[in-house]
Amino acid sequence: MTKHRVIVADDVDVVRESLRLALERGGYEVAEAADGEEALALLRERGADAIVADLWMPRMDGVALLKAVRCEAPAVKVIAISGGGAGMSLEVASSLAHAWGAEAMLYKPFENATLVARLDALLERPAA
Amino acid sequence: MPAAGIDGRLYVCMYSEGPLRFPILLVDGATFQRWEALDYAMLAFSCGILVGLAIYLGFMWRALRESHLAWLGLMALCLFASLVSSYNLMAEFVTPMLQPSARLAGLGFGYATIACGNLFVIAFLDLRRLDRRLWLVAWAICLACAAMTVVAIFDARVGRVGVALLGLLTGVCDLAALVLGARRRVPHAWALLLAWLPGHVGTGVLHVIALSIPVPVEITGNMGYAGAMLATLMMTIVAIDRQRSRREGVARALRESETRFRDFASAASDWLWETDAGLCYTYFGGGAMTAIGFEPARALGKTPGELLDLHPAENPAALWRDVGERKAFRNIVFGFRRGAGGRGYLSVSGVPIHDDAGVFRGYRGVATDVTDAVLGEDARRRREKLAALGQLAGGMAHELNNLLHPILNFAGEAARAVPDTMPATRRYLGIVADCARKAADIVSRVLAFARGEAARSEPTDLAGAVVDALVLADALLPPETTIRREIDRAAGTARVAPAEVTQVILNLVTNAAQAMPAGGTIGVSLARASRGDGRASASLVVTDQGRGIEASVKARLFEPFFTTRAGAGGTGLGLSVVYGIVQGWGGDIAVDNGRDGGARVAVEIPLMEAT
Repeated sequence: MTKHRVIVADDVDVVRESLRLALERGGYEVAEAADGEEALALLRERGADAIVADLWMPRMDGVALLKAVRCEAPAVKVIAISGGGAGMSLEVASSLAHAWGAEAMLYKPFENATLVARLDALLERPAA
Repeated sequence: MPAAGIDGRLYVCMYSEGPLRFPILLVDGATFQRWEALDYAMLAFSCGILVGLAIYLGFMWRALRESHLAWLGLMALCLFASLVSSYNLMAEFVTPMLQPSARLAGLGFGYATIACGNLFVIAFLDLRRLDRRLWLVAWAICLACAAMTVVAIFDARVGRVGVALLGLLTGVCDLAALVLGARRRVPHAWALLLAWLPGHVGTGVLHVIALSIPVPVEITGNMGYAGAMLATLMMTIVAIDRQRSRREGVARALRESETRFRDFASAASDWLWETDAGLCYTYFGGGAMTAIGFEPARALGKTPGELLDLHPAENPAALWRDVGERKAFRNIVFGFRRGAGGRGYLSVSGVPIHDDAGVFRGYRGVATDVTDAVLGEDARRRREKLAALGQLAGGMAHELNNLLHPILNFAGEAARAVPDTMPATRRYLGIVADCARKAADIVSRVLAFARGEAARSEPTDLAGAVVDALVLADALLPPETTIRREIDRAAGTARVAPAEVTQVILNLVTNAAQAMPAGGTIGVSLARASRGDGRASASLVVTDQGRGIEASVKARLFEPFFTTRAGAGGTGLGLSVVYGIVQGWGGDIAVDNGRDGGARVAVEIPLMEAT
């Protein structure tokens, strides 16, 4: 069985690293992106099964990324993650994420195991 | 010579007809008695006429309230009396018996005429205020007239010289008064110049001439006086009429100005006040006093401190300093306690009042109830503070959560990597992870607090909130989808959280956009509507040009997680979230198909005010 490919988009590198660690141990192939544009470039370049996107990122934020993904690759599962932000309340962010069809929304800090479990369920993988 | 008498006796009558003539008449007793009776009857008659005229003059004075007219009238009376009693006339026309008493009366009335003329000029030109020295001279002439009358009893010649000199002196005095009067009382001075002086001075000159050349001074001179007096009377009446009409004009202007300011005062919502020197209220006017919570009648005689329960913390020192220095003050706001724990604010302005002598008499000014403005400003500041707090908390939470996430997860990873032989290290890492969870809990609680404050329902202008939300929604829509706005700016005020309005709009607009994958126009309208129970409400309608809603779907629209876009990534939470929010507002939501086939979502939002 080929590994599912997941793009992790977050501007904080240690967050990306901890997610990568958990996802790789969960049996995923992980690509990292520091913002929405990088994530979109990676998606276009090599494709992905799922994207874990922070909503609050410099340049292209998570909502914009989500919209782009819904247009370009509707089948890709998206899990939005957020630790909140100064400009947009968590409610508005989550509401936007829901509205634009994010499959799940997780609030930082969460246990990475939760994320892996959600992804497994979304991609209908047997639990590792 | 007849020698018959009732009692058989003859009487010798001797009288003076002038300085050089002393006729002696022999009359019988009956004639003498008749003459004597006639003499007394004439005296009584003259006195009666004089008293009657004086009474008439008194009435005229009362009616006109013009003292110079009274003096002029009295002067005419004296002139008339002096004419009647002038011994020449008496000698010729009435009876020789009256001569001695008539001569004295004639002189006396002549002096009285001069004195009254003087008093007339004094009053007419308001000489007392014009020039005090001239006023004293005029009165001295009046006293001299009285003295001359007494002297004339003993010496007729002195009396006549006196009349001539006093007449001249009066003329000079009048001339001086006229020059002075021309400065201030122009019409009066003209009246005097044209009518009075020629006759007055001319008669004086005639009297002087009569001392050497025998001229009928009593007739010509007094005729001159009479003409001058008549002309003066007419000119005086004209002058008074002019003055009165001017005074009436001034009074009318004053009345109009008073009415105007009274209207201003009653139309103003401000409260007008006046205090005495002890700062006790002596007057209230204007409209807003009942709103402040007291009756004007009850407040009179009280000081501001007694009337209003002044709030100690907001008692402006500047106001009391200005009042202490008797200075004007403007727009000073101070707080006071209103019944039932409320607080009110007044803005006061005032100016000190001084009397003519410059003595402080109190203050006069306006006060305005500015409670709403002050409290509104407070609320605005509080909202801004909360928004800043929300931003700060959101930014801080973002940073902290991004730090806590790796701490929590790497602590877990590290603990997993620690061999069983090192239980203490594993325990330490567990403590780190626990601490990270507790910190995350604290952060979320701070966020929840800031969010709760920000999402608190408050009176919100619906149109403004919807327009703001549409700006946000616009940025999220694909370029081929546009929004057609029909927003009634006066839709009203509802007790809602603006963040919730944003959420409802975003959800409905994105739903509509997703119903039209190829793009189209989303209609958003907001208008006033009336509910069945008569309460005011606003109707928010969002329409799209999609395929509409199938009947089977309609029943399940608001179920959580129900979605028609299962394959396209819909979670189905959108409409149920909207439904929850709208229920929270006490409103209602209805989904239907529009006339053109697209979906139509109508949200009814209750307004705060009545229809």
